[in-house]
Amino acid sequence: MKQRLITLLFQFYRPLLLWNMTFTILGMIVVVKNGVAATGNTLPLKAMGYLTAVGYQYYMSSNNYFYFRNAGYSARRLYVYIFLADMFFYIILIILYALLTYGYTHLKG
Amino acid sequence: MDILTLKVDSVQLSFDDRKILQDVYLNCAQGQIIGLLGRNGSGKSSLLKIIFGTLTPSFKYVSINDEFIHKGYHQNRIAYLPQHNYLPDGIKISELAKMLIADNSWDIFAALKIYDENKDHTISGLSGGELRQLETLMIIYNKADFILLDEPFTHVSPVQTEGFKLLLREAAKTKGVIVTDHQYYNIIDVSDHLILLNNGSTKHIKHHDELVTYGYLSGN
Repeated sequence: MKQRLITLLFQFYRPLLLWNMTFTILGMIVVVKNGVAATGNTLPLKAMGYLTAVGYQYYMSSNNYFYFRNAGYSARRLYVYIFLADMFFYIILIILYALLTYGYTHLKG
Repeated sequence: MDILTLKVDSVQLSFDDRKILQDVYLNCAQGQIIGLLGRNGSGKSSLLKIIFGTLTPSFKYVSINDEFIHKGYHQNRIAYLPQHNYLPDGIKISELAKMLIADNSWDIFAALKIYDENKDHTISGLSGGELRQLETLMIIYNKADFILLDEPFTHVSPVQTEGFKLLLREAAKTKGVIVTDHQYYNIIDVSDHLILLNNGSTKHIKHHDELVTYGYLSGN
């Protein structure tokens, strides 16, 4: 059951992966340039990425939602899962970056 | 095994103050094929979408064994073949099929020639007819207890139509089926019970003559 949901999430996320990665990279550029404290400022950017992804999917391939519904899942639920996963991944990246810069600063003395 | 019954009642749907559905009542039990007939714009597709849960009417009561169902597709209770293509591109047919086909039907489905020949393709490698055939089969062999088919015989050759009808009768041994199509002779042939949507309400047809009386068929 879990494996099936994960496969469906990958299938659902596949067309949006590059798009969301682009916004993750843009967000990371802002964080690298302005420091970890600027993370909050990147959240609207990430939100814009999600909104445009939903808009693109809705207008270009909403017929495919029926495939996922016939597998037992609503598009809304799948969007929530993938955006939560994407945000989790983004936060992990920022934490890793913060740890690296913190470590580097302290090693440097 | 308890026989499940899908009940649809009191559906009210309007578009721009025009009442599309207002006095709808139908029952579909596992083991039954219900044929839904109606003129263009009579609300057949809308009714199927309401049962499936993708169209929200002003009121509806949809239940399975008296348990209210808000979205028919949740937990694979109901599957639906829309009029348009629904399989996503860029993913192998075999990967898509694994997500939809019931475990106990997999061997039968996997043995089908149309699947075997195309399982390693994506939908862009299929003709329109092949795609429609596979999409219909993926609903017939779906995990759901009830299946709704919107125009399964359209854009399909007569030989394939006869094949679908056999498969539908087979599927109806364990599922409830509601099927609609403008090819009324195929619907009459495959159904156990006929319902005509006329002026927004369901007419339960006992004799085929009633289809003439209600103006769905000409008397000639």
